[in-house]
Amino acid sequence: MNEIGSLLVGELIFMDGQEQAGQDVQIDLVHEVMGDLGIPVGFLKTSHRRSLIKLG
Amino acid sequence: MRIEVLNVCRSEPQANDGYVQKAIEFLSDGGFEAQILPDYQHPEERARLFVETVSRKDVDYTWIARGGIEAAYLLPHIDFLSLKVNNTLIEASDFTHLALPILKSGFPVLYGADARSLSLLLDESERKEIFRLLDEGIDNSHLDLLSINGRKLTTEALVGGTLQILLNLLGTQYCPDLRGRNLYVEHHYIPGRILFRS
Repeated sequence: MNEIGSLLVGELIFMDGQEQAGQDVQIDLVHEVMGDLGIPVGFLKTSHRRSLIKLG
Repeated sequence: MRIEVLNVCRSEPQANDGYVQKAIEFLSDGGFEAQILPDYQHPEERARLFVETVSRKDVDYTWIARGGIEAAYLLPHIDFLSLKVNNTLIEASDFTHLALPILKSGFPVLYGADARSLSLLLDESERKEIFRLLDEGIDNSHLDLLSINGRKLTTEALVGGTLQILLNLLGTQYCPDLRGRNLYVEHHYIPGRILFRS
């Protein structure tokens, strides 16, 4: 995992049990996991379901 | 431009195929030659049609009609080593199963809305934007990104898909090498603790 160039996440809403985590919680979580590895981490602001992303 | 809309998953009994038909109408109104291909019941038949369609040179895009869990059923019926991809696959979440081995073979894939979304989810301005992207080609410059640790993000050489499927395919013959690539994850309705473990 630490050999990837960067990480983009396409959904801003996670479900955890009965609670729907807020954006700040998600960002903190991903930051904690990936930040110390030095990997750039970002989110798509617009839903991938409403657009197209080129993979490859 | 010619777009073939493909039923990789069987229609669910409760599915409203009117959305797919309406999507065809939107595509036609947008200036595309579009049609929906036959809806076979057996995964082997659907895999054969998938291979035939993505290999066609007279087609610009092969667009998955709708999402569904049955994309994985096609994997044993496709020889990815000999697969010829001569147009661009447009796929959605569940089709990460099929997109990853295609990416591994060196062919690009467009990820996001399924064809049904044109009528089920998107408004007119969003449809026009997708049509523009299909006409002009997609280089990801249209994506609006939020960096959360201040480091520069890049959308070149993206590989990825739905996190659950990525985790299932890691280490298998279907997953491309992630080293040096930029990882895109659709993280949809999954507990945060799973992401933490991943």
